[in-house]
Amino acid sequence: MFLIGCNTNMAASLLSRCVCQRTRSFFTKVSRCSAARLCTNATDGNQENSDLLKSQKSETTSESTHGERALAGFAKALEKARVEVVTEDDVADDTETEHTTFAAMLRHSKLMQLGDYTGRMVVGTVIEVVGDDLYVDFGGKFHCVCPRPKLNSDRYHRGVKVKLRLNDLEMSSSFLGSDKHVTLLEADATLIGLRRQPAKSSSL
Amino acid sequence: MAAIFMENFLAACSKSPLLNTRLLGHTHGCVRSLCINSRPVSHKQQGRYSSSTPPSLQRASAQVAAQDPAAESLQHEDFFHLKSLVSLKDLFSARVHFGHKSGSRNVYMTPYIFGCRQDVDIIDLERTLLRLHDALNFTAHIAYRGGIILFLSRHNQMLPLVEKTAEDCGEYSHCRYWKGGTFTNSTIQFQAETRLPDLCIFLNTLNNAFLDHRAMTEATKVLVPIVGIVDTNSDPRLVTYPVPGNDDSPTAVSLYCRLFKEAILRGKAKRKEDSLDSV
Repeated sequence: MFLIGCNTNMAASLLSRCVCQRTRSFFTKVSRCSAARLCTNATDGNQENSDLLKSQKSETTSESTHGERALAGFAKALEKARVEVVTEDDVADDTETEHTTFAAMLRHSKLMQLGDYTGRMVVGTVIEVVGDDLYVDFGGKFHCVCPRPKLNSDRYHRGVKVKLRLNDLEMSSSFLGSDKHVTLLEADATLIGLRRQPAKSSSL
Repeated sequence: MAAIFMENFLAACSKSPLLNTRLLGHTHGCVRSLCINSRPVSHKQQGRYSSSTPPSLQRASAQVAAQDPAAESLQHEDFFHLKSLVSLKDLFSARVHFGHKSGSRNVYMTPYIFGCRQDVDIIDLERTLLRLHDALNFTAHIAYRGGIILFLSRHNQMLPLVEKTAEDCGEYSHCRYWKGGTFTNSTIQFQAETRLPDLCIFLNTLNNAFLDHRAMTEATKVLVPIVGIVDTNSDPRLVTYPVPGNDDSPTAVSLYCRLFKEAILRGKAKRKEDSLDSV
């Protein structure tokens, strides 16, 4: 079901990303794919996958000593550090090089993609911590201030990525019948929690 | 009209006439034209406008131009190559296009606003880029002629950055409470004859009460040109070289600081290179 309609290269790359061996084996049921005749070059693709699996199996069986396992873990961590980090999805994103006019840049920006921003989930970075207040920047004009949660309170410090539910980009309103708004120079968002890194690994 | 501006520009930049006028707080005697769209006019172009200006003013203008040691710098549109410093993409990624909510909008900022998205004003960066080029060029020319530049901002979050920027380029900053009469009553307040700045750069034109910074009106009264970053809630009318842009995000303000610092340093480097210090 999952492999239906996708080409074999994508399937192979998807399989390599499946961390759990059981999941991998679930998807490489050769009979299912070839029987449905939905994947072209199905046999080639699956051959590739089975080879990959074989190599992985041999890897795990050879790591018998504690030292070797530790080294393998270190190698994995090193590889992870070398791999380019996935860019965070902020409200103000990096513009693609093809957009040359401001109108085009704006049209393809995250601000436009948000649409009605009230109630939308965004990722922010903690830029300052003052007592129990976290100043979070999510890519808008202003930062927002959220109280530090009770759960995992020590894990919130400068540079931490957090999930927010955006309420307002700028807290401003007109008071006492005035036309001109009074602004607090702050955005309004509710802190949901820490941002969990998505499970990604190019190497196993 | 361009010739009048040219004359004023040169008078403002050459040291001796300005020192006398500023010290005594008198007006120079020429009507200051706040031509927002004009650029420094070359001597060759002056002839085109000769029919509109009276002969006496033409002669005075020609005399001042002849005495100007840095006249060559005015022949080029971008003498310090500042256009390459910033692009539209830089402005966009620095969040310069974000304005305040439409309820805070100043009526005089309407020409610079691209549109309003979900009540948030978006500043037109195409216009901002042109204004920014003009402002940077002007700043560099002032630095080239040995002018004193004052950075001003009442945004406390940016205070350390602005003060450091001024320190880094060897100029001055005033990001604290502005005492009324600092420019207009300088002789009494400083108890000495004071040389006032030759350019005021406002990173934020409003004070903590969201009213115009007092230094704006004072600088205009003593004929100090103003370069200012104007957000959608600011009044651009008193600013000589307004740059419409976001003044509340740290990314945007750090971009402006970096650009103005670079412009000033280039102007100063060129001044040293052309050995204008002795003049």
